[in-house]
Amino acid sequence: MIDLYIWSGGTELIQWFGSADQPRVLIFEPLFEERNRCRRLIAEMARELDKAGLSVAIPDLPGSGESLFDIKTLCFSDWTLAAQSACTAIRPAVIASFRGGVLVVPSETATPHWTFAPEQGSRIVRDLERARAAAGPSSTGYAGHMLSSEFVEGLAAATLPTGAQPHIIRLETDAALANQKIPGAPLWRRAEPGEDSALSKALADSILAWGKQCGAW
Amino acid sequence: MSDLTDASVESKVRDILRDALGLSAERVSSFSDSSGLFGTLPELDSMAVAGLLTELEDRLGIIVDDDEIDVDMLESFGGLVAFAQRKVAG
Repeated sequence: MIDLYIWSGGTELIQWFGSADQPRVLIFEPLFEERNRCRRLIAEMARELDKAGLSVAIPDLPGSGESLFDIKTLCFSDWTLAAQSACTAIRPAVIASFRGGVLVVPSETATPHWTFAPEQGSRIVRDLERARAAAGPSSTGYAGHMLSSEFVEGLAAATLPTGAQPHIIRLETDAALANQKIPGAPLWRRAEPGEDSALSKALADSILAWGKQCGAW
Repeated sequence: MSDLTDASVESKVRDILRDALGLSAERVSSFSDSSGLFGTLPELDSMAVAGLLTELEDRLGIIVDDDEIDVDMLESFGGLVAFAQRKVAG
């Protein structure tokens, strides 16, 4: 099912899995190219959550997905504003963020926040800059994304939430601290979108278990 | 800075290429020093280079400076392994 949410700059799409009368999981996807690379992983995970009796909402951020906004007109703060509006519209039981999606999660939210392989804004900007350097001087934008300097500065300054700590899940190969580590490969690094049913299932199980632990369902 | 041996660094570089580029285990185990990477492997586009470097940093506990990134380290498997071994040795 497709739905809409309104933020101060306009209207964006929400993709729903499952019926809306079940407890809701709001997903913030990875940013830029990583989003495409993880689409199948996340869609398969959403179907697992649906089967387990949850509903899943995946909103577009302005300038990404089906959004009519041209990303070059936006600042990073437009993304945090839109994410706040999506959160208000969806009223989730749990927020689940992936990679850089962690950076748009409203910092004041009281909703339990689960996050997979979260990444600091500065490291995402460094990836974008390296991709631009590797693409050579004739390339435009950041791996095809025409970001304003204001956007890049805002993203570079964005850090993981420090107040209410999210519940952090990482791959076993990642040396950084986490509440839980699971086996799998970093599909967000790959040029071709991949899928990994075992990883999708493990992520769904982790969200289910943690939501239960928080009393979200 | 690390107790990783040259052989274990090479093995980790193979794992990173497998996981980050989605190559089969058979394919990465067949790589020799002269096997081509950037410019040869279609899976290694410019965005994947960025991800590959970040994954090297995360798994080997190294920092790669942007001015260290050049054709020599990326064009062959042997070049990438030698670079990683140098960085791990500090």
